[in-house]
Amino acid sequence: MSWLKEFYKGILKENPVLVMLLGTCPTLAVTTMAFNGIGMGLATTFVLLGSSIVISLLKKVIPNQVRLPAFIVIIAGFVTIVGFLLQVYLPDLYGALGVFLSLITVNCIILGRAEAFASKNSVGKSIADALGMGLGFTLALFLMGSIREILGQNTWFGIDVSFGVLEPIGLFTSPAGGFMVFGLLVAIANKLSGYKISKKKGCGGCPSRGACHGEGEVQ
Amino acid sequence: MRNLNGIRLHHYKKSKDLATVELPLPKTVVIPMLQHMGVGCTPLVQAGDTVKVGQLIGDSEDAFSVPVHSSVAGTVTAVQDYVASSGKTEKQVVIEVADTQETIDANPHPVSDQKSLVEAARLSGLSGLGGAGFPTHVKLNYKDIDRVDTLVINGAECEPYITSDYREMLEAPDDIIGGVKEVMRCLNIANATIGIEDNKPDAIKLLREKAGSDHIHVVSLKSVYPQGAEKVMIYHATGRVIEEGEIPADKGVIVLNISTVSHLYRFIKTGMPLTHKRLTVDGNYVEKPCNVRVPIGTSIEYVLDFAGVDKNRADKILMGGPMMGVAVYDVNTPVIKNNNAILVLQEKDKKFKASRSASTLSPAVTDGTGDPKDAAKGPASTVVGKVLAPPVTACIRCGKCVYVCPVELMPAALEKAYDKKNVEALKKGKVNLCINCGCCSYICPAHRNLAQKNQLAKDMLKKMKN
Amino acid sequence: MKELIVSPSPHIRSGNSTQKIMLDVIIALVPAMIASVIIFGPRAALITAVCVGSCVLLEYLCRLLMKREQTISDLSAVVTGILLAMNLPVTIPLWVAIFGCFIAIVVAKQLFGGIGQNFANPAIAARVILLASFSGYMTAYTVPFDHNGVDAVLGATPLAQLASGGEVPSLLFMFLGAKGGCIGEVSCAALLLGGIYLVIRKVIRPIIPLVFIGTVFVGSFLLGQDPLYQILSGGLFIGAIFMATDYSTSPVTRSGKAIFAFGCGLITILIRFYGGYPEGVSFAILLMNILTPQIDKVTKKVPFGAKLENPNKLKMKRIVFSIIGVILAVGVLIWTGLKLFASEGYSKAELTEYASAALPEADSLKLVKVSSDDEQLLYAYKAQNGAGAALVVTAVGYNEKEPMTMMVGFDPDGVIQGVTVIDHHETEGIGSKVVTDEAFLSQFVGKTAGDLSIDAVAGATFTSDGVVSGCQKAAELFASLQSEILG
Repeated sequence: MSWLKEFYKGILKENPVLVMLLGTCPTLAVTTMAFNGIGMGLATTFVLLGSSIVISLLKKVIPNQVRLPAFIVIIAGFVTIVGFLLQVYLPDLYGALGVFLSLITVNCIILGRAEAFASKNSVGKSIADALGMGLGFTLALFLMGSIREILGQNTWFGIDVSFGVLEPIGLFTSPAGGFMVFGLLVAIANKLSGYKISKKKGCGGCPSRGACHGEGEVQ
Repeated sequence: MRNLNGIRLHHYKKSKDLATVELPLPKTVVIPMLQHMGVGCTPLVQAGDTVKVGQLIGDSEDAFSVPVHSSVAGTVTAVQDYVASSGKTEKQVVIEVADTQETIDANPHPVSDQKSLVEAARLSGLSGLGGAGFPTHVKLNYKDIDRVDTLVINGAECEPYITSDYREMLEAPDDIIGGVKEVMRCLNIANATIGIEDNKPDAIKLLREKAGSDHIHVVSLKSVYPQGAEKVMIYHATGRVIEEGEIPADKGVIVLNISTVSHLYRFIKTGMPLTHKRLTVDGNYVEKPCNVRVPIGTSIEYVLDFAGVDKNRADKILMGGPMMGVAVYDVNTPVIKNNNAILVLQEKDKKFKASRSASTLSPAVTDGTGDPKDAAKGPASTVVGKVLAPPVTACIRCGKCVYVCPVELMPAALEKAYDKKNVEALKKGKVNLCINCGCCSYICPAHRNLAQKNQLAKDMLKKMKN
Repeated sequence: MKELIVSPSPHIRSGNSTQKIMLDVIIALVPAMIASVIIFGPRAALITAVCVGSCVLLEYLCRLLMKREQTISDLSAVVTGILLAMNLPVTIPLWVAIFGCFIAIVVAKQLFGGIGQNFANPAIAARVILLASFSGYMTAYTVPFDHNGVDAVLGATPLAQLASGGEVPSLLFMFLGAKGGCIGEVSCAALLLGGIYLVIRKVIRPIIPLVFIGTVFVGSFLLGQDPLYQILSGGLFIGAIFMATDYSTSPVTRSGKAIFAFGCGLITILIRFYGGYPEGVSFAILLMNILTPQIDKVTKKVPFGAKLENPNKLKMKRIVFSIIGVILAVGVLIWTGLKLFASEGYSKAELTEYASAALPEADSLKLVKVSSDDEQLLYAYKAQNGAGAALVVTAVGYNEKEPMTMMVGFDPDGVIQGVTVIDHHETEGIGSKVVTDEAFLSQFVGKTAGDLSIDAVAGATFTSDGVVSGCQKAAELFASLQSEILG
C-alpha cells in the first residue's frame, strides 16, 4: 500500500510543477490551449513511465559515474518513440508542441525522478511514482491551459465558451499572462498542500531538495 | 559651505520676555548621585547629617564623574536607591529643607592654565547644561590642547518652548563673556565664536556689544532645528566637519553651552558650585508660562504647582524639549543638572484620545525589557503608562526622512535593515552617526518611529561589539 | 492625576499623514476630472466613479482574503482608481476598466505587499497590460466635445495624426485639451494646475516633472520635431506629474530622481520617434520603475562626516558621473547650436552638385531671401558670377502626398538652363526613371515660360507632367521675382 502513497504525493503535496517548480519551461510555453497542455502532460507521463521502469530495472547495472548520460540516453529513446507516435497519429498536436516535444528529454521532472527515485527504488514503486508525478504534471498543465484558453481566447478545447457575453483578454495568451496565472496557481497549490516557506538558507530551503542530490547540504 | 538639512519648527517661545523668578523653597529635595552621562557618585553624607547650600554631598574617584552638591540647607533624611534611566541602580539623597538657609563659605577660585581650569570645572560640579550632560572638566581636559584654536559657544537653543539659555544671555551677559575670556586665556585658544539662532536678535546685539574684543565673534545662525546639535553647530559656525569617531577637539574645536560657560565664570569669581537651574515651564495648554530658578532636586510637581499649571490636563510631562526631551512617568521626579525645561503636553486630537482608553499599545515601540508582567503584554511596554502615538502605517517610501536628516542618513532604509536585523546594512548606513534629533520621526507621514529604531539599532551594534 | 504617557522622543509630530497626502493628490486631480467631463461628456465621470469604486472594493476584499489589516482609509486606492480612469478612452467598456482595476490593485500592488511595496506604478502597469490585451478598446479615441459617450465619433490622437502626416490641432487647443485621447491626459492646462498645487503643498518635488518634460522637449527639438507639440501631446503631462512621481516607484534622493526622469524622457522619445507605438510614456515609466532599485543603490547619500571603507570608490563614482554629465551637456549644447544656427537651404557640396545640372555656368550659388510666400517655392539662389538664378520648387507628380523637389536654373533672360530633381517619392521603376532620364530632362534646356511643350516619358505621364508643372511654376516665379533675385 505504500505504492498508493508514492502515487498520491505527485498529485498535490509534491506536485512537480506547482510545488517543486520543475519543468516550468514547457508549462509556460505550451499551455496557451488546454488541448496542448493535456497532450504535453500525457506525452511526458509516457516518457516518465517508460524511463522510470527501464532505469529501475537497470539500476544495479548502470555504473554510478556514468549514470546521468545513461539516463539521458534512455529518456531520449522514449522521447523519440513518443515523437514518432504523435507524428503519425496526432499530427496537429505534434505541430503545436513543436520543439518542446524534443525538450522533454531534458525536462527536470524526468531526470529528477530518475535520479532521486527510479535509480533507488523497486520497479513497482517507480511505476507508482512516475504515474503520480506524470498525472500531477498533466493536471497542472490542464488547469493552466484551460484558464489561459478560456480567458485568453474564449474557447475550451476549441469549443466556444464565450456565450456571446465574454470577450477574449489578450493578456492571458501572452507570456506575461502565463506567468501571472502560473504564479496564482503556485500560490493556491502552496495553500492547499500546506507548504511553508522555509527560512533555511541554501539547499535546505529549496522545494526541490527531495529531487536533487547536489553538492549543497540538506538541513 | 552648505546648510545642513533640518526642519523649521514652530518656535512657541512664549516665555522669552519673562524674567526669571525665584522658586520659593520646597519642603524636600531629592538629589540623585548621577545627573549626567558617566559614573555616579558615592554619597558622602548619611541620614541625620545637616548640610548647607553648596556643600559637597557626593563624589567619586572615577575620572568620568562629576561631584554633586546640595542645593539647599537642611537635614538629610535618607539615602536611597533608585533606578536611573540607564537601567542601573544609583543612590539619591533626600534632604528636608530647613527654615533658615545657610550657605558654605565660598572663596573665589582664580584660574590661570588648563590644569587649574579643569580643577575649577570639576569642583563646580558642572556638566553640559545644554541638556547633553557631558562632564565639563573631562571636555576641558583634552590632552592635545595646543591643537585647539577655536572655542564655540552653543547659544542656539533650537528646541521649541525653551527660553532658559536666552534669558541667561539677557540677564547675565557679562558672566558669559567673562567665562569665554577665562577659558580662552587658560587654554590658549585664539578665537571664540558664539553661535545664536536668528530668532534671538536682541541677544545677538547685546552679546556683540559686550564682547568688546576682535577675537570673540557672535554669529547669527538660521533657526532651523537642530541648529544646536554639536556637529551641526560646529559646521555652521566654523565650517569644520567632525568625522566618524572623532571628538570636536580633534578638529581643533571645543564646544561649550552658553549657560555652562556662564556658571563656570560665576564659580571662578565666587566659588559657589552649581546648585540652582533656570527652567522654562511651558506647554501646549499653558497660558502663563514662566522662567523659574529652581534648586536642583526639587520635584517637578512642586515647580508645576508654583507655575500654576494644571497637572491634571497633562498627557505627557517632559524634561527637556519636545524633540529630544525625556517623558517622565512620575510627577515627583526631581529636577537635575541638565534640565532646561519642564513641558506639559496635552493630546489635542480626539481620535488619539479615544485610542488611549482602548489600551492599544503602539506596536514595536521598544524591544521590551523590564518587568516580565509587562513583557507578556507584547513587545511594547518597558514603563508604566500606555504609549499614545498616532498608529503606525506602512512606509510609503516618500523620502521625506531622507531629505530632512541633518547628518544625511537614510532613516527609512535603516529602519528596514534593523527590522531584518541586517547588521551589514546598518553599518554601511552609518547608523552610529545618528544624533537622535528626531527630525525623521517628526516628518514621517506614516508616523513611523524612525529615530527610536535608530537608537535600538545603535544599541544592538554596541552589544554585538562586546 | 491621570496616568502619564511615556514614549520615546520626539514628542511632537508634523501632522503629516499618508491620508492627507493622498487627499492632496485627489484634489490636484479634480481639474483634470472636470476637464474630462467637459471634453468627453458624462460617461467620463461614470468611468471614473466605476474605477474608484472597484479599486476600493478590490483592495478591501484582497486585504480581507490575505488576512491583513484594512488600508482603504489611506485613500491610495482612490488615487489609483482616478489615475487609471484618466488613462482610459471614453469609449472603454466598463468591464475592461474593472479588469484594469484588478490588475492595478491586486496584481501590481497587493500581491507585492501593499502600499510602498509595489514594483511599478499600479495605474501604469494596468494601462500597459490593458493596451497589450485590448488594443482595440484602448485606442478607440473619440473626437473632443462629442458627448455621446460610447457612440461618439472616433478620431485619432495628435501623435497618431503627426505620425501619419495629417493635420494637428493648434497649440492652444493642445494645451487646453480639445484633442483626441484618454479622458484625463488631454487637458494639459488642468493637469498643470494640479501639478502646481502638488508642488505648493510639498507633495511632489518639481524635479521629476521638469526633467522628464524637459528631456522630451529638448530631445524632440534635437531630432527635428516640434518640441511644443511633442510635450503637449500624449500622456506626457499626466505621466510626468502624477505617475512618474509615485513615491514607492521612484528613487528617493534628488540625483536619483533626476536620473530616473531623464531615463523616462529618453525612452519616451525613442519609442515615439523610432518605435512602433505613437505613444511611449507608459512604457517609459514602467521600464524606469523597474530600474528604480538599481538607481537607488547607485545614488545613496553619503552620511555627513562618515569615514568610508572605500573612499576611492566614491571618488571614482563621482568622477564617472561628472564625465558622463559633461559629455551629455556638451553634446546637447553643440547639437542645439548646430540646429539653431544651421544655414538654411542646402550645403555647399549639395549646391555644387545640383548647380552643375541646373545652372552649369554658375560658379557658386548664394541664397537670396525673397518676398514670395508661394508654398511651392522653397529656396531662391543667385549665381555669384551673374550667370543667372536657380529656384528650388516643389511639384506634385504621381505621388500626391509627397511632392517632388526640383531645381530649375535660369539665365538672366529667363531661359531655362537645366533641370534636376533633388528629391522625389515617385513609383519605383516607373516615375523614378523619369527623374533621372537625361533625354527627358534635357528637353527643358532653352525653353522659356511661354513654350514649355515637352514630350512626356511613355508610361509615366503623371511624373512627367509633374516635372513640367514644376518648371512652369519656377518660370513664373522667376518672372515675377527676377528683379529681387538678380538685382
